[in-house]
Amino acid sequence: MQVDIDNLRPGMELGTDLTDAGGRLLLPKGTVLTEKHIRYCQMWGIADIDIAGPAEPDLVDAPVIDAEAIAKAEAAVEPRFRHVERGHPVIDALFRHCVQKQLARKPA
Amino acid sequence: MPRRPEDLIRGAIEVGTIQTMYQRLVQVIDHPLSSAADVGKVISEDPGLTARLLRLVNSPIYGFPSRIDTVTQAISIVGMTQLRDLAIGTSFIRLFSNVPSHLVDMDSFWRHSIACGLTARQLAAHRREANVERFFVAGLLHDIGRPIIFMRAPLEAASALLESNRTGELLFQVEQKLLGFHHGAVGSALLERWRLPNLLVDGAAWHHSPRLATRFPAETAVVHVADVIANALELGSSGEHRVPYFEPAAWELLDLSPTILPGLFKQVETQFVHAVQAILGPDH
Repeated sequence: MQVDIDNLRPGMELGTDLTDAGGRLLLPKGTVLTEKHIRYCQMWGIADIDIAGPAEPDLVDAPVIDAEAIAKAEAAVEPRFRHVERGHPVIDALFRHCVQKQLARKPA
Repeated sequence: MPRRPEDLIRGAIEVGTIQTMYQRLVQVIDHPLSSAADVGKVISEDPGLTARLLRLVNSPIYGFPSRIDTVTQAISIVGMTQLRDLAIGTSFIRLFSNVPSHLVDMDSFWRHSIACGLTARQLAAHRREANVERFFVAGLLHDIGRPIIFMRAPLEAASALLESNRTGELLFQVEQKLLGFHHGAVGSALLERWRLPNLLVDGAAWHHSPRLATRFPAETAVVHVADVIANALELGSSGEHRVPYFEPAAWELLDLSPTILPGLFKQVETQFVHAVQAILGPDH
């Protein structure tokens, strides 16, 4: 199953070889992840990783976040984005990233 | 009141050592018989710079399995022109110690510069550019005109900050209104006077209007997009606290898929901590 980089935990095992965009082998299949591996994966810009074994529901299900907290976070981020067109995919990705960080900063 | 960007860079800014070092590095690298050891010798004459470079190449950003202890080793791994570019870029950090601290926090300024450099470097890596370090340096130096404005035109700089805060206008547009030019023109005039590569000159000049970059359109587009990202991620600040004007044509020129972005943002945020400690010092 694909696991988001933020949900990786030490002890998880790679289901397939992990390669970079150019196909260079970073970590072989079967590697049991340590804290250090996970840090390096962040450094390498890996978005998600194939982990061996069945899907664990708590990792796959999207966490339930209440709409009010999201609206609050968006309102906090919005003023900084007043000079850019929110409809553009780059700006949209930045906005969503900033809203996620804002939510993490102030847990609902 | 200053009329032209050149008026702000006359005299006073002490860069003699950097320029000399740069010219010597170019000379040594261009010489057909010079080796990594010769280049290493020039860089090693500056102990502060040597320490910064070694901290940087030993950081997880490069992820080399063993320790790099000498500049010569670093050259053989990172590459000669790449290390020269890093040497030039990180030499600027100790300049500008007499910038009025009530106007700009230089620590935060360099953090923003490092964030922009790292982002530019990652975008360049996704584009399969041969030397990603020159993009790092172009990002690192894109706002170099701003501390010059703060030092040489403190009254106008203070008015610009106040007006930008009051009206919500972008700082570079207020600079343009009050001075007749903005920090891009000042930075490029300075880099040109120091005879640094044109890529760096143009990256500074056009990072807010990449469509005007005729010599290095793709490189300038990288710096433009990197600056927008670095501002949005709030990794340091060069005085601007909003996401600056973004030109979609610059992004199209890069020919990258937006799907790389969420991973790239996280990557930059993780690398940022290491790069700041390597370049600004371990206590940062």
